[in-house]
Amino acid sequence: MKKSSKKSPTGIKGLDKMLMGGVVSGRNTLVSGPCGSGKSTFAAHFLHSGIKDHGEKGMYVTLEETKEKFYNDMAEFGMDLKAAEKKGDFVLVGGPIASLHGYMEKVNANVKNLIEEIEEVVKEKGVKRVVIDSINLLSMLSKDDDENRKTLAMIANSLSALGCTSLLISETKEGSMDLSRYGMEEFVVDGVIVLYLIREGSKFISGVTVRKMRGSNHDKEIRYYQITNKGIVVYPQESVFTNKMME
Amino acid sequence: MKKILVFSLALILIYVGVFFVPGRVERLSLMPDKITEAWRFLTYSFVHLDIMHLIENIAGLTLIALIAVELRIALGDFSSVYLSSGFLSVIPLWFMMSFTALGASNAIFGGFGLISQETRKFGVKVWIIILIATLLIFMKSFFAIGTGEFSSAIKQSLSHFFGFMFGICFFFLISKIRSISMNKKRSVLRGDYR
Repeated sequence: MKKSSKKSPTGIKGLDKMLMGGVVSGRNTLVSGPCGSGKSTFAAHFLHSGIKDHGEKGMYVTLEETKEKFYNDMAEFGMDLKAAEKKGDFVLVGGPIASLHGYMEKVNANVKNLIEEIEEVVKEKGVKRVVIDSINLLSMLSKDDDENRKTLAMIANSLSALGCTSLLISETKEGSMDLSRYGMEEFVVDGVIVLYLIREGSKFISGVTVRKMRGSNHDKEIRYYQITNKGIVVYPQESVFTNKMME
Repeated sequence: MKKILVFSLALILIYVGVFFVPGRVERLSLMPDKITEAWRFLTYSFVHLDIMHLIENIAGLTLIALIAVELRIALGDFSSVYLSSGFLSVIPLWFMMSFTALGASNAIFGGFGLISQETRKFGVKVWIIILIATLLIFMKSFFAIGTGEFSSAIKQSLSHFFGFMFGICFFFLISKIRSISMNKKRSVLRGDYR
């Protein structure tokens, strides 16, 4: 009898059904989608669920927004990560990329130093769930494509080696059916979840699919989801089917 | 080829080259009555008295270079400790005791000082290495007690000991500076960059 891999639920019920329980623990999953598709909210669900339901400490590495903004935005969905931080169950590091980049030049740091710092925090705090938001912005800190690829591989290996279950957020172009921005991220990670925002006339249809999940079976359809006042709600019984997808 | 070995080979070639400079000792070594000739503070560590002196120091340099390669010491650390020990470590003693200073011995003992700190990588207690090295440095003086050679031997031993301790202290200093610098880098994501 085949031993099933241990799963880490994302905290989004419908998606966990699609994933047959959650993402595979101790591995990296790419979460990609266009602007406004709910990637950061997805990440917050993942971390919040880990803390609240499974006693797993979380770390959110942001290269986009300030701490206060993130806490306020996620509090709107009922996820009080500020309180979790005060208890020591959650840590948020990083900030807007422009400020970060300037500081890195000042102290003569490079991307490798950032990865080392992430490792250090994981070990110090006993973090089990990590989100990096986003790897597109992290790639801006790399000198060239080659360094970018190496950086991604380094992060993926490093987090796996530390036993963390991690989400790497990647922004794709709007209307695109690509799995990632640079077309190589999906080969480095163990799982790929894609959020789509497909324009249909005057509205956008949002869909989520699990394109890859090594070590686990999963739903292969594109399922409908919404961002509500409770966060992301996935409808695992409802498929998304539009003319765009027939092209 | 390992960078430290290339560096050491370059130094050996310089030592050999300087050895054939006519009047090298009189022109390039650090002499008490030639204190105004400032270049001697830079040249003295490249000058050797005779062929045995040169061979001993080439052997010493080769030895510390090979050990440094085994211990995976960075070229930057090795070269900075070696050169600074060679230029600076004898200065205080030279001012106090007034003698002619020449040779790469202080640089080599500075290199031994660096190595003594890195032996912890092999699980060796550093204080044991320092103790053994100190005993070996002063052994020549110990055996010269009661002979006419004692004065010269003790100056030499003290000079080598200064080189050894300078190497230890200088490496400690650059490690600390690096550690502070690295801590700053490590706090990039947690740092106050706003």
